[in-house]
Amino acid sequence: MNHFDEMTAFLYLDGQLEWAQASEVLAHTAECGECRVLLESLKRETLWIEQSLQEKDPVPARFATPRRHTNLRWGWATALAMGIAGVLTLWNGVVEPFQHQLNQAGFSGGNLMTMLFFSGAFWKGWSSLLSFFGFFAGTVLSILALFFLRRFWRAGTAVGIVLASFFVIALAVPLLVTTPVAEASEMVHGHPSYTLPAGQTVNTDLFVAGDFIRIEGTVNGDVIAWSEEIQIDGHVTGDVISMGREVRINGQVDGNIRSYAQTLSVSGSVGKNVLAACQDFEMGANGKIGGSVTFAAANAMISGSVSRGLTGAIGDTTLDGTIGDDLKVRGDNLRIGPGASIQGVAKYTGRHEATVDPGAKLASPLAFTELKEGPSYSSWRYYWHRAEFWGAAFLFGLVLLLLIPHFFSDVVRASKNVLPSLGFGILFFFATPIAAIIVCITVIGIGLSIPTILIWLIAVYAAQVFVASWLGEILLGPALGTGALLGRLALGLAIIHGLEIVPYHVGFIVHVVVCWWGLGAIAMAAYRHLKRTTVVAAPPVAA
Amino acid sequence: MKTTGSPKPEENQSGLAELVACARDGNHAAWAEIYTQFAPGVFRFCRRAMPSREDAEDATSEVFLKVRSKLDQYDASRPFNAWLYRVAANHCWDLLRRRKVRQDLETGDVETMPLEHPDPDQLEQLIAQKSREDVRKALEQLPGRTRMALTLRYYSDMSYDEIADTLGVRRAFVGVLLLRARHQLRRAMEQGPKSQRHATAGSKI
Repeated sequence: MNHFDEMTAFLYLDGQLEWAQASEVLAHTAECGECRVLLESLKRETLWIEQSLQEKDPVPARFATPRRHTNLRWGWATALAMGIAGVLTLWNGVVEPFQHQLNQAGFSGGNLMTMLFFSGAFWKGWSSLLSFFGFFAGTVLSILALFFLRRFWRAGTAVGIVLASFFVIALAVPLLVTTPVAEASEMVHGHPSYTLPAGQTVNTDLFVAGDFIRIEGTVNGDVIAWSEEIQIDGHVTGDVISMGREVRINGQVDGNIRSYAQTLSVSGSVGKNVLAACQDFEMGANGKIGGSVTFAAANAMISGSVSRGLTGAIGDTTLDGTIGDDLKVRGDNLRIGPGASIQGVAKYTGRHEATVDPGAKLASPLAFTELKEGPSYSSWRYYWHRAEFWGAAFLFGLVLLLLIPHFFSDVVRASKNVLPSLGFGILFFFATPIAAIIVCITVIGIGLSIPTILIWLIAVYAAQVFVASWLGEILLGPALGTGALLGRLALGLAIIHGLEIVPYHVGFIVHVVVCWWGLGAIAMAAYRHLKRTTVVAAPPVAA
Repeated sequence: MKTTGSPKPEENQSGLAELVACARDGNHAAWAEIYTQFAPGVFRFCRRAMPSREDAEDATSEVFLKVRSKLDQYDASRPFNAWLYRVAANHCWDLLRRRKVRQDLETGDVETMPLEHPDPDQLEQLIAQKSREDVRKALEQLPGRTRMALTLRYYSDMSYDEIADTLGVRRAFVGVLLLRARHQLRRAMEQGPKSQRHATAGSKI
């Protein structure tokens, strides 16, 4: 036999030759050194390729992470506990002091939402509904907790469920029984204007919309008004909730005023408190407010008397009236005229120093804090706050990583495409809110646009988490396992938050770029995710 | 076919059958267990078969989505691993085939490529000089079908019949395909990573 070719040698080694041919090759190899060498080399090459291909290289975290239930449960428990701790901290640190301050300013306790917008307005059982929401959330959380603990505590599950149902019944029954039904109310549409003439009385809540609304008669209930101009000359025994270009209170309101207006002027009397957001707030010399005033405005002229405190974020304030309690103002300018009298503590935080007329009567000297532009780099509080922001972002990332590990790594991967991410990010950053607002015009659209805006807000916040993970991976290499991913996330976030401290707009630019970049990556990953689902739904190839 | 990814196939076989049966009935824990056991192996397979890490990650996710939806079609009398890797192989090959332009050109390329008789000394030198990583890098740069054939044979240890079936070629052609693939691999390694990119860009795309 002549020398055999490589194909024959190859097939011989792979055991693919017929018996006769194979034995010929075998016989030839015994005699021919050259062909023996070829066979040996090919054999070695096969082994070499096999070993090279079978060598185990690193597997991405989402495929390598052993998704053991214990780990997951611990992760969940930690995330849940930290989440709850975060909510509590937020509540204790921000919401409650704010509420407390409002209480001090004369607002009678109650739920924040109720107090701000809905007090006695739309539905008397609103606060019950809110407590029901709270209760519902609590129940869901408890059931979730039971669900996750059930393996540890199998024997106790039945007991837990029974206890939980008792809990539900014990709370829900009194709640349902005591929830009051909304009171009767009158709805009016002005054609185009509405006037309640003097001498006439409305004995329910009055909902009214029109071009010009004038209440000269008496309303034994609340007035809820939407109009260009709203003028109350008569008597309202309840609250006045108004939205309009100009709101004038010349008559008597026994309850509260809640107003969103361009100009709010009070020259009559208000029995309780005033809460307002407006451009101009005017209070005439005859104006009288029985409770406190809390508002945000560009300009304020206060001449009448306020029985309790005044709290405001006001551009320019001119005070020439009486404040029965503390004055707390934050703004650009404050002028205290000769007719002013402040019986409590007066605090002013502003850009320019206040001018106080020598004739003004102040129970204690005005405490002035100068408002500085930008962060105060010399204060340790500032750095502590930055650290807190970092911690909050990390916690958020942790929860995302545990909840949606696959999507998480998809987004991190998408953020590697820097320019497309940035492009999509800018697009979505601006387009989503605009689209949501446009959709909002139709009534059905509101249901769609509110969740869209919420998701958009969450995505904008989450953006930093993904960019941080990407940054961490760039610095420390690809992550294997949840722990390593978290380390990279923490490092990336620390760098981003560190850069955001840099002054001269650098920090701001970093913040915006990170925001767009991450948002774009989320959008791209979400798109791929949707596409992938459709790919699988399509007819698969034969396996 | 080798059971890459499953740590102790013999011991696990009966347990695995049970797991698969549970997963088929919609048990999430069982499915999670299967995923945990096989995801690294399937990923490694996809990593060999696909040109980039990103492609491999996508392919792995898709393979598991597909496996999950096709779990009722799995014949329990056959080994699960073999079935799983067949699904993976088919899926990867399907993905590669969809990149039509490449494939059309490369088929012609393989058919017409002349086979030089190898110099055993040169081959030995190549084995001695190049690391295993070099082999994997060279593999990444090969055309889809060539890479797929090498992966099926030398990573998954598939028989000629199985390869023919997966790639949709005649059985008699598998040997030619494999030997030509090895020639291409040698050439890619000789040319080194940088010049190679240009070389393959010319030949493969």
